[in-house]
Amino acid sequence: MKMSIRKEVKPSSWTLALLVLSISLSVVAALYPHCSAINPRGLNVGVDFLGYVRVGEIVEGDLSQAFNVSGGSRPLIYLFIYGFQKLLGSDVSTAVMFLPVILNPLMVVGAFFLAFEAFGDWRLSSWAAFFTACGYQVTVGMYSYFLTNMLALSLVFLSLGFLFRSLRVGCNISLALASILGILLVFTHPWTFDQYVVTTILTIIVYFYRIRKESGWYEKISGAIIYVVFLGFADFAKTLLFQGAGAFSASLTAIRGISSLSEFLMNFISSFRLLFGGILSVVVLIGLAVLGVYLSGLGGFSEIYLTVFPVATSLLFLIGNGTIKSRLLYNVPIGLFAAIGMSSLLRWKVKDNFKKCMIFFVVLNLVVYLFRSLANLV
Amino acid sequence: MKYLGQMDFDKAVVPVLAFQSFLGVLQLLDVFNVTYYPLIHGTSMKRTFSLGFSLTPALIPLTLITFAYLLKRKTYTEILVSASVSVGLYFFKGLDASVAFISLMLVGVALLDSRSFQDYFTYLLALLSGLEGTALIHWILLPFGITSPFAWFAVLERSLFYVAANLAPLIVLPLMFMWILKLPISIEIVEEESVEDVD
Repeated sequence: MKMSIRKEVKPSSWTLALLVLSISLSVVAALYPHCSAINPRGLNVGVDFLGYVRVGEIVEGDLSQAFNVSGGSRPLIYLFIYGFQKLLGSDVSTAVMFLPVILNPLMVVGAFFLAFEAFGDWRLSSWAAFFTACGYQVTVGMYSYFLTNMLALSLVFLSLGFLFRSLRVGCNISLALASILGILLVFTHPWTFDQYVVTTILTIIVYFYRIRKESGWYEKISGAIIYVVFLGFADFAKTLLFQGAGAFSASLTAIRGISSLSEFLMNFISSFRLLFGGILSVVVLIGLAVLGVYLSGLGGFSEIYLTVFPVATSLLFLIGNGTIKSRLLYNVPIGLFAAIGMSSLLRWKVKDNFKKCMIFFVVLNLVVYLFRSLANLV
Repeated sequence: MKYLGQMDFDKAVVPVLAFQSFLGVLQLLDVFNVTYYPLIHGTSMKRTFSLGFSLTPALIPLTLITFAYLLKRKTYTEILVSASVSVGLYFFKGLDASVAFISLMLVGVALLDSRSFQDYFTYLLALLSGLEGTALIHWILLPFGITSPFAWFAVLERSLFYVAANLAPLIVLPLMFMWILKLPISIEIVEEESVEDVD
């Protein structure tokens, strides 16, 4: 089951074009719903838009309030909005409106970086960027205005990318950067923090089990342990100093959302049909991701991480209510899994015309999905 | 020359099969009033798949070509079974359902007989890419306030997307729980490696 992807170590022009297209699309996605022909009455885009504006105005009046509002769970996003507002010289509303111009490409670059550090393959990484830009993390993010979740995903993608690099090449600077970005995640979105840190802990256990008989196993794993310890301390400090919602209270929120297994079917269907206007249901993207999950092996730390991720997520996914299910799915690095699936499909020994048609279809299908969803947000 | 003619016909029939199956599926979705829930102007709406016209006039000549192809291949039993089921369906759901069903059945028989799956899916993907392309033009022109001539295709594409979206929960299950199936394989790998270590 070990994955053996032929890597594209040097970027081809096609790969670079795909990466540039992905970043460009993510920027366009932030502006598209505001076009006058699509949104002639200038309605607010995104369910949580007004909530961010309201809290942003409180923080604008007193910056220290960033650590108190929303239960102190997400100070970083409010500081981010404040900084962006000062940079634009605008009011809070305008800053919140155009924040996805930064967050969308940040998430795409994060997905690219994570994929590159996990596999060292330009082609696969560019596909990861594309699937993130045209996937539900952008569309659902824009629909619900999950600004905090989007920032958290960007941070965790970058943080894990640096962690994988530090474990691969033993670079302490990368480990420091991974830890700093991870600590920022603690101050951004405790629920995303929980999902990814629990996966990291499980990965460390599995990785330890695999390499325990090898000489120097401690050096191979110590970076990951240090990383988790740093993040744990940061979460503890946050809870202690700012009384902000930490990983533990975030877990409690999730546990409160547990429903009986008999409700599984209803919750499951509603999270796809009704929540977020049904735009979570991207069959092509999820289908490719299924293939990617199937092909994730048990090679190095990064591959084990990707194998363990669905394990850690699925346990709560099974018993969580519809909202929890959808949020767990939203946090899955779907772009990376879909990129693994797509890369493996393109390695099939089939006619070139078949591959070309498949690429055309997948690209067009997802770009149309992106624009169609964005055009119907208001 | 006769052999070459046969080859040409075999090759020429594959795009027909792709087009026929595409139209057949559209007609079946229409006949069975499949419901879907698209996001339109910020709200999930309940819609029933409807083309607004019958595809039977287009499906009949395509089905006849496939029928001729299968007669040449002497797959009489399969033709007979398909025709019988289709006639049966006619009494319950009418001509449109019957034609759509037989055309899809014959496509299946022709594909199994010719084994030209790769070419078939190439043409089918090309066809779907064409639909996506026209829809994309519509969505690109929209912000400029230009009424595109492809609005109908964009609506059709949206309908097909949301009809397929009904399958999303089924596809997410393996995404989340594939590890249960993979677990024995992973353990096997670890055990194999452990044995190697001992050796």
